[in-house]
Amino acid sequence: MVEFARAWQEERGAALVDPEVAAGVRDGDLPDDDDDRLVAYARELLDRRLPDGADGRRAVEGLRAAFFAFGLLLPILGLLAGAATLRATLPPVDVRPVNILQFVGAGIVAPTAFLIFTTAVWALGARAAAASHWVVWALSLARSTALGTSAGRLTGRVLRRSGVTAPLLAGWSHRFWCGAFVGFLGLAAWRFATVDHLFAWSSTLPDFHVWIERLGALLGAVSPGQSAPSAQQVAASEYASLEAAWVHSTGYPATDEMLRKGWWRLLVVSTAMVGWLPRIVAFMVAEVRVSHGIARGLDTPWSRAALAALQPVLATARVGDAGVLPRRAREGLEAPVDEAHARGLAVVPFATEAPSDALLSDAGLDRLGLSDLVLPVPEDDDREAMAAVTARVGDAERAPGGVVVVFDFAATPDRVREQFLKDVARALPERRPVHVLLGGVDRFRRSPRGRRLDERRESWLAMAERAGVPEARVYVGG
Amino acid sequence: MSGVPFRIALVGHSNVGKTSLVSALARDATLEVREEAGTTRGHYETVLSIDGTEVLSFIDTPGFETADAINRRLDELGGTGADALDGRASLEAFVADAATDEAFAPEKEALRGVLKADVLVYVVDVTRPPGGQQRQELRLLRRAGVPPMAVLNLLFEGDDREAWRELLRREQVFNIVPLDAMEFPATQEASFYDELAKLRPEYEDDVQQVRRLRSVRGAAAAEEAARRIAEGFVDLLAFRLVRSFDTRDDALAARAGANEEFKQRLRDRERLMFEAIAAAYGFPDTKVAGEVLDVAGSSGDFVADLFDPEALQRYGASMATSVAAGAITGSLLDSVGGMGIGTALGAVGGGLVGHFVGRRITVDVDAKGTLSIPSLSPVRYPPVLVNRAGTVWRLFATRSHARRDDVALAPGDLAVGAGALTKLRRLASKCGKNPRWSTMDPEPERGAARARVVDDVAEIVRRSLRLEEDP
Repeated sequence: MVEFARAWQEERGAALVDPEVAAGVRDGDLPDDDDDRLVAYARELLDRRLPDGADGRRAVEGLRAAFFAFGLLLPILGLLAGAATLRATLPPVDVRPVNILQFVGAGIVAPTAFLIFTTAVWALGARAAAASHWVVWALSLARSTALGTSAGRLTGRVLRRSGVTAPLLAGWSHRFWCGAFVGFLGLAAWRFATVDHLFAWSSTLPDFHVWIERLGALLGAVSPGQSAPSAQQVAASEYASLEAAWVHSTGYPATDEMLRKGWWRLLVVSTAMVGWLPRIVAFMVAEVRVSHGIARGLDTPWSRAALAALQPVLATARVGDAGVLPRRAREGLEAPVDEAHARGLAVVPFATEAPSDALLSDAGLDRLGLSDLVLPVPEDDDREAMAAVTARVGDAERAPGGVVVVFDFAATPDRVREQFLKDVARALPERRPVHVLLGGVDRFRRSPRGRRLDERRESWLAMAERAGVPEARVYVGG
Repeated sequence: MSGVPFRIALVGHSNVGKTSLVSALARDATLEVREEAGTTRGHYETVLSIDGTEVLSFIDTPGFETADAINRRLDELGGTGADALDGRASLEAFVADAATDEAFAPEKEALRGVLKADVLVYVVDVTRPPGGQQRQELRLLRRAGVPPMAVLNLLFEGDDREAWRELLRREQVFNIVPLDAMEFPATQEASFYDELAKLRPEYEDDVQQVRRLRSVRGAAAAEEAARRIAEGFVDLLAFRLVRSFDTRDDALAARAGANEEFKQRLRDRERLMFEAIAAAYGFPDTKVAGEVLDVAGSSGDFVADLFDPEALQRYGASMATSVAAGAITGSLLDSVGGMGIGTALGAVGGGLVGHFVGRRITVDVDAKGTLSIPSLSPVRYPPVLVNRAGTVWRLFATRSHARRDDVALAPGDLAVGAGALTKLRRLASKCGKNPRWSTMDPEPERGAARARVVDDVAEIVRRSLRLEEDP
């Protein structure tokens, strides 16, 4: 990580670590653990730079692009590679027959060897230190700044600590190979069905035909609907026999059909069964492991801490563009509040109904760690309720980990609301965040004011900013 | 008419559309309206005068935001017992109290307007239910001792108007009218004035004067729009572009540019016509989207290119007639052959004939190097131009002055009668023979003959599009 930071600094000609931010971290309680220090740095960075929400958006867009590109690119590359491999095993028609051993080697032996190797490596628990780096580079492609880079580094670490790095990379590997088999088998089926390729084997070893017969029996056993080649077929497929037949131009009309169709269906089906099918199974297993691993990984204290620091970055993207991340990226990136805020967020509906679980979930707030504490202000002239809420969230003993103040989007972001928000922010113990959730947007959109929704949203954001709540912590939904 | 205007203060919570309503009521599209609290800082009067006499005044006020705090302050100021101030006196004392200027500056401005008013119009945003602050505002306004009414603004299906009616009645506001500032239908405006007159019968004459004024101004705007359309019609149909070059080759080389210039100048002139129509109805700054020609594309909303065949077709130009004629001919073939394809072929053929035969935008270059583009076809373009202008007229005539968005010119369904069309084509033909009638000509001629044509076109336009009627 240190090396990466240095490389980044050299490449960009700018310091990755902002001295002012670093000083802020040092002024506080410096954690012992490297990773925790990184989290502390990121949080400090976010606190200082939150007004620039564009960084966060770029970071999230970079992640999304990286996930999407990898998911799409790998099978395409695999498909091209598979097709190219098949072409390499096919000699020109009427010049030479197809080498059965080459076909089996390229279609079954090599991929299976890779599969065994990959499975063994991941099964032995090997860790890929580079796991976080691809995220970082994706972010650098997205022209992210230090904020986005911190987000990327933290994301990479979360993935690794969640134990999903191995299955994630294995999944990508399987994705590639699945594409390769489609290319290999698809082209093979098409070529063999339309072109009269003959199949042959050749060896200088004595009695090699016995091994070919055994191989044929094995392939026949794993290929539904296909029978193993007969001894006569194996003998007729020896290259020397074929060559002699061609040289003397006697031909083998009786065995031509056997030499072609007897082999190609068996080879294609057995390749699919022995090479392709295990890949598909392995791919599905990896996917399941990734999703389970992320769910489990997000439950760790470190992940909660890291992702709480990242949360504003994600929220920034969410304000304008809900659902920008693919599901898996979201699972990996949105997370509960950190340990310091372990009590979770209190919800304060201000002159509006308490938000539904769906609204909180859509806004991503449920992943920040909501407590059961709901402190409603029933009416916007209920100063006693407002004072009570402020006192409760400011109570050093019982203060929540943060507050989500819920407003009706259609309400005017007026001075009463602004003052209340300021009071809550001021009352909360240091660093505990205030979030603003604006509900009722769909209804607003349907109303005559709907055509000026953006203007109203800006008005809310401006009010929140005046109250000290950055844009990144304002959620619009419902 | 007493000489003192009937003062109506529009009050309410911040950002409920008070200024929008004043814009609509006063036909003034220049007031600042934003989706933001505190857009109106002071209280502003918009006075309607008739023959130099001020008849009615709308007082636009800043929105209330902290009425509960003011009520508490007023309760303190009012005192108790024999020295207790009445509601209005306590309001006046509060407004005069400099100590609270900073905390309640917008509200104090609003209350200054309230204290001047003969009627309070409490503006309600029904897009959300009433809340505590709104109750406090109604309580606060009651102190002024000015008769109140309420206007339900921003109406839509599923709004909270019933909850509002209930609250208003509970707070003793019984004169309630729906009046949507954005749509602003004439019937709602009429109800609004009826309620005003009920609240203050002594001003009923003034209210009636204003209603008559509305009608007179509407007719004047329609007359102005008709004349502007007629002027534009003559200018556009008389215009001919002539350019001289040293050699024929130079002239030939300039053909494409001249064609574009010709089109652009027509488009510019048409845009001026639209702007004049907008100004006639009190929208000096409103843009007509789609007026920007060369916005091509068959699927967009702004297909309004004067030279776009599809647009021409939609505006009922001659090509549509040709298509129909071709289709009928084709269907005769179908009746014989039973193929079905005859109709389609006929329509296509007819459309092509209409497209090419009717086309008159040609660039001629003579042997001396003079390049000329003749005026527009008097057959094809009169209905196109009148329909476009008529569509724009209708959009502005029915538009609320509260709106600040652009006007979208989409193909209209205004139809010019066959008789009127024949006359328009005859007048267009006259224009084509007199290119100097166009004000775009380097040496324009504004003689009596041109004036007569303008009058005739204005009359036809007025009648065929019924501009004299309030839409």
